[in-house]
Amino acid sequence: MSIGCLFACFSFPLQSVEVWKQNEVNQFKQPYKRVFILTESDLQPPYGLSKNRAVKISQIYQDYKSQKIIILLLSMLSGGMAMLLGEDAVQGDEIDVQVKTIDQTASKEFLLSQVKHKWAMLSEAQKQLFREEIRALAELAGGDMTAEMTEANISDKFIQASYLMQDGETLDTVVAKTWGTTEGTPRHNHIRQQFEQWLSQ
Amino acid sequence: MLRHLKNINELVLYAGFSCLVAFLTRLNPVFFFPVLMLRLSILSYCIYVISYTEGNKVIARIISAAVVVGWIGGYWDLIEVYLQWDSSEIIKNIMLILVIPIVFFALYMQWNHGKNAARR
Repeated sequence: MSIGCLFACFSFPLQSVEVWKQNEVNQFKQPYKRVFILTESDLQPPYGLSKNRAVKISQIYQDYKSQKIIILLLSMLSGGMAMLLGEDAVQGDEIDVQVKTIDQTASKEFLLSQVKHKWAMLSEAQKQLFREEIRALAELAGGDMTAEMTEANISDKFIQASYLMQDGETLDTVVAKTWGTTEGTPRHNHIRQQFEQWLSQ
Repeated sequence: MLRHLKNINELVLYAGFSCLVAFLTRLNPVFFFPVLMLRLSILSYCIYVISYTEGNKVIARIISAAVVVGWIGGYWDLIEVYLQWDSSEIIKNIMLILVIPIVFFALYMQWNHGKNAARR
């Protein structure tokens, strides 16, 4: 309704208009026809127009001032009414969308906080078990997570080895068990040195 | 969907106001220049809000679109007369409207040359 009335009010003439054509000669002595479009509400006639020489070629005397303005006001009124009537519905719709997004993010955050809480409550040995489970899962999935010797993995192995030490194993067997090396090889000695350093720290 | 409907109605409301102002300006041409200045200032402020600030961009877009729609729509019957009898005038104006922003954009790009690239 509002859009239709708006476009309808664009169409009909607002003012009475006259079109005059006048033969002129320019600076290079060439004749041309100059067009003047006069509207009803012009304050003064345009410069250069003499009605003795000019010819009126078109006119619009039927104007639609009040009709156009009434249609325009109708369009504005219907638009404003639609906005007022639909305000609650629009806000409800917006609130529904917001609630959905908040629900999704809140459930994610709740799960994350639960996991964090559980992680904090776990003892060090249980954490280690959990890490091993995750690693096993990653191996099952075919990932290369275990292959990468990152800093975290190395320190984790040190922790694992320190638990074995607490159980009463010797240094060589602990290193051989955790890193899977054989005694006497240079890699075994190297890792053993590192492990001793880590223990002293 | 409802939001778009509400935005369209808002646009029509503001465009109707702009169109009404255009009608009154055509009936009283004394106010042509002040209304032109008002339109240009509203448009430039809306463009500033859209491109440089973090204000309400939706309402700025709606108002700028409404100003343009009301401006063209308010003069549409006169534009038809001009198109029929003196189309060179309209073409001249359209060329000016198209060329002036292109010139200013080219100047802006020259002045702004390399600044955005350096930031990346």
